[in-house]
Amino acid sequence: MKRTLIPLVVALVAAAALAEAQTKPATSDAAPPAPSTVISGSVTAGVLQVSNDTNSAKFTEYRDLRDKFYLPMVTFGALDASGGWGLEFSAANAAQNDQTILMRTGKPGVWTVQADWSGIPHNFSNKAVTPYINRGNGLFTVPATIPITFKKLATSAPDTANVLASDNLIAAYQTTYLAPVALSTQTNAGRFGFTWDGLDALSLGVRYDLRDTSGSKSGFGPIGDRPPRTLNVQLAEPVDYRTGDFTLSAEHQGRGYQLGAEFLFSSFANGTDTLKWQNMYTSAAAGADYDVWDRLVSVYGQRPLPPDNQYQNVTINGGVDMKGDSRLFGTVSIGQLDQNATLLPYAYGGSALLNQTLPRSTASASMTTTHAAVDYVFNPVRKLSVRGYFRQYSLGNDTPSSNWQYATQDTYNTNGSVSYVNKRTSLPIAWARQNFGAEATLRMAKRNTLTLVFEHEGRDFDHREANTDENIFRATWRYKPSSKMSTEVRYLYGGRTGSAYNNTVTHEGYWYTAADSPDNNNPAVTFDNHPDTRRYDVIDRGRQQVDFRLNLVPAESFSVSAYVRYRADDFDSGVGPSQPLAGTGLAEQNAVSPGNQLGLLEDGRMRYGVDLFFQPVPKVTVTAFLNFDKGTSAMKSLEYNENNKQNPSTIATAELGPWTRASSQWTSDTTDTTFGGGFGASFQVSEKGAALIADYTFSLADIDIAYGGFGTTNWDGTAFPTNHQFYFATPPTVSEDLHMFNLRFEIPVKMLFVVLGYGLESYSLNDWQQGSSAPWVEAVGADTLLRDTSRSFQWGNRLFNLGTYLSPSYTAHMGFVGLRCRF
Amino acid sequence: MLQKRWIRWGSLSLALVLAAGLSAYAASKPRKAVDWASLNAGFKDATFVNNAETCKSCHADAMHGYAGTVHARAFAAQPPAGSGDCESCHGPRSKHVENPTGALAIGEASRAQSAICLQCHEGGARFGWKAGAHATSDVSCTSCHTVMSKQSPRAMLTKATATETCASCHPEIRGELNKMSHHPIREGRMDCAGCHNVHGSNTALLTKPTQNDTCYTCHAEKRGPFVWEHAPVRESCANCHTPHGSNQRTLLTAKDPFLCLSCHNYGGHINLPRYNRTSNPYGNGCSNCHVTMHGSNHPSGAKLTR
Repeated sequence: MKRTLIPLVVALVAAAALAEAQTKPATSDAAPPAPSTVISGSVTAGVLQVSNDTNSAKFTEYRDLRDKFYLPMVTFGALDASGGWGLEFSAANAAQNDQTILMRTGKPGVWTVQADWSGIPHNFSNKAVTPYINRGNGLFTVPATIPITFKKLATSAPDTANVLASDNLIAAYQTTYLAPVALSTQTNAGRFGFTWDGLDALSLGVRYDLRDTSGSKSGFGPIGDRPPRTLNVQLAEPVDYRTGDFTLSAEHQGRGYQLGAEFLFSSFANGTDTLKWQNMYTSAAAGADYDVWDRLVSVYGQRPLPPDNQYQNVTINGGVDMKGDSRLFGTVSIGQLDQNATLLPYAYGGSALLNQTLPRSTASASMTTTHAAVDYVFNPVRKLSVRGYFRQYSLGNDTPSSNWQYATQDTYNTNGSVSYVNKRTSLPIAWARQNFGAEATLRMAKRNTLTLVFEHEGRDFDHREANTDENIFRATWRYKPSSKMSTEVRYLYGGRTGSAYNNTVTHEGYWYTAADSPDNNNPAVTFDNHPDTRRYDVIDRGRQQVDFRLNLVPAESFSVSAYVRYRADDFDSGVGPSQPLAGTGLAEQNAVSPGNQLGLLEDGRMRYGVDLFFQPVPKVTVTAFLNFDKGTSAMKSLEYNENNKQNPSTIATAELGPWTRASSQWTSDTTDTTFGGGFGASFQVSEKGAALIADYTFSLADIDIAYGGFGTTNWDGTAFPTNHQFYFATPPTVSEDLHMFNLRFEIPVKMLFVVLGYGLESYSLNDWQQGSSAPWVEAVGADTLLRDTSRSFQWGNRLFNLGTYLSPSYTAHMGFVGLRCRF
Repeated sequence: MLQKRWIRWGSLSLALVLAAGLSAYAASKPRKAVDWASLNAGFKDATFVNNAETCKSCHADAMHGYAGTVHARAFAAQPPAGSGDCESCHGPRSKHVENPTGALAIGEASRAQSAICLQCHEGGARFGWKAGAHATSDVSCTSCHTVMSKQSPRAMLTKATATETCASCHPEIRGELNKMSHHPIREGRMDCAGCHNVHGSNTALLTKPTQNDTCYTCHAEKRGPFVWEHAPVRESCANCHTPHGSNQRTLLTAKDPFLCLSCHNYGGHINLPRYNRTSNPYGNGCSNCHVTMHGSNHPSGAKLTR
């Protein structure tokens, strides 16, 4: 690739240089005027002091805030006024993790060299702890394993005393071996580009974007084939990503038309291919890679991390101006994604029972994308603009479809075989979307504008339950009688229809033999998801949205604007009772589903707010804003035993009952509200430039989930105790409040400015999912071992994690003293 | 081999454009013509003064701030043929010099104001400007950009940053930026232009034709493709995420496991927010085990647990 690209880049640059040389004006006999280069810039340096009472990573989530001396801002500019050449340089937080460096030089309208470099820290937690030791290259080991006594994975062998004794051993283990672990990543992103615009008819560009991310983030290591038998642990997953994008572009501007082309080559590389972690609950005999429980349990788990991949894309754009101020614009784009990592084996280690042959040794994953769009804008009559458009996007999948075993590296059937239901086929997921429509804008009297739009969107999927077609209507009215006032009202309606819902399409993801059919759970004979389920992205949807905006500018020194947005989506798809086993010949082929749609049913959002700007005198500026955001959603589901799909009546009175029982349904209604606002003020205290700037911002969020039905009660209405394995009820409100106050004072002292700054932030978080105080969960020994309050013997209800509330509430103060020098 | 084919296609496309451009070099400099009279009838029969000093004699204050802008430097290096610096944007001003009133102001209609800028700036990211949502919503170039003074380090914006500029018309987005989970926009690590081409015509004015293509620009580790695909993920990241901000972790649209339960109803532990498993409503919910929800490359990755 380098052999082709390097000469091409050289050719581009040479062409640019050649054309540049041809554009130089002829010299005259007169002596040229002396060039004048203006140098300017500023340097701000100072000391920052920070206090964060809980050392919460939330405070420094995307910022590098700590006690330090640093340069908050450096700017430099050089301008050749006569020749137009200029250099601009700025560096914010230079050499810090959150630095931003911008450099641009060139002759505007002729050539430009641009280089940007920015750092993006992402701090997840300062309080994560783990017994695991990072050995490098994705390998994690523990200093010692836990001498548990309950070495059973079978689901029918409760042994409460030994289970609880093992839990206590895990708790004791924590006090000895837990150690802090960094949970953060640092991304450094750079962009280097050269653009040449020396000719009005031609411009060329070459650019390289680099994105490098390293560190650790929260990940998980599951060992086990099914949830009751899952030995799960939360890990500090290594991140070592590098993405490089190389872009070549060229554009030609002719008389009334433009033609452009762009080629992109993107490469992603992960420095760590595999995550491998020691199973802390196991100890193996010499030479063995598994421990002997009631099943063989692997002493290591492993899974692949994001694989290296490549993406290439060619895009051609064209636009032509036509008669009557009309314009035709089109774009065609072709892309390809490839990934061909070497696959891990089914099983870790050398267990002959699990080392079944893979259908292929590498991923061989490949997709193609095609995109085409055409827009035509014209004015058939005065004051009427019309736009017609068509867009097509398709994602094709050339990844081979193969038959695989779900044979994990650890636990499996006691005879060493794998369950037939886990014979899985990888499917080449693909889809296509077409949009076409027309838009008309009529400019009426008294600055009224009316816009009407009709759009049709069609989506076709491979291996999905349905395709969809949607008709969308939009109407917008704008009124701007003067520069002092404008208002806009917009209405959108979309009616989406899904084709006949094929609930059995998921059968394509399994491969079966005749001997597999008798099993009660066999999805090929019965169904995968409950027949009343409708996946919201491929079903009917009625959506409406109303927007209102008002802007008032009664004077240059005062303006106020307000907005309201309301949106409602309804996914009602006319679901009724069905007989999914009809025609199968099974004894209960006439079993009927309840016929209530399951899944996401409704989704809505209401937003409104107001913005204010006021400048009573030139030295004083005040801004303020308030916004309210409320989201609501409703969903329904039904609990049933997947092992009785063929014979639901046999478990008619069991807790984990049949799929035909309506009283096993549950509902949840979520309300997500955010109330935010802010106030800012700046005062120019003196003519010499002394200024006081203050701002305050707040955001108050609450999430409420109203839960009812099965889980709060049994199917017969009997209340579940809180430590029941199925118990769930309306949880506590999730609340998150953020307050930020900043004050800055700038005082001129001769040639310098003294800058004094103070910041106060307060953040409080209460989230039942992040903690261990809800009725269904308890910590054992420390909050790094969470256990379901049912205390069932199954390993699957225990989670060894990095801790709860990894980014907790905090109150932080920041103080800054610095000097700014301008030159 | 495949890479070489793509390199050839890309090179051929670039070469065609290069050839077209260089072959046109010998012709006169084409610049999109502006019918000034259609913008303001008062321009009829007016001619270009083509002398910035004439303008400066009355408008020195305005030109003081203008002097440091990129336009001033560009026109100093390459004065527009025929019209000069000021009149390339303000139109032929001979009649204004004769009678200096505001009669020749360009109307506030967005198309009128944008037509002036588009005479030079209709290429690049602005190819599809006329077909984009901003243009058809009567947003003009001067809604976001200011020419006569430098208010921002880049792009001649009306406000100091792109985020402030966008928030002046999209205040509802500003509220989302302060939510629990958010892109690092309010921290200044990125801005709206990281995902949006505000001058383009893609759906939602994204930089790429689809949401996923846009997200992969920074999140290439999710690009795959994978042996095991998660179908709604491959179609659109927005099926599970809301990019402007969310009160759920990692920009999710709903609290896990409710998000997963809106599509999955196989039976057993899948169907309840609590079922005595590590899918329980603590930690990351379903993702405690189903860690490769964006796609898996493990032979036993069918359930996205590896």
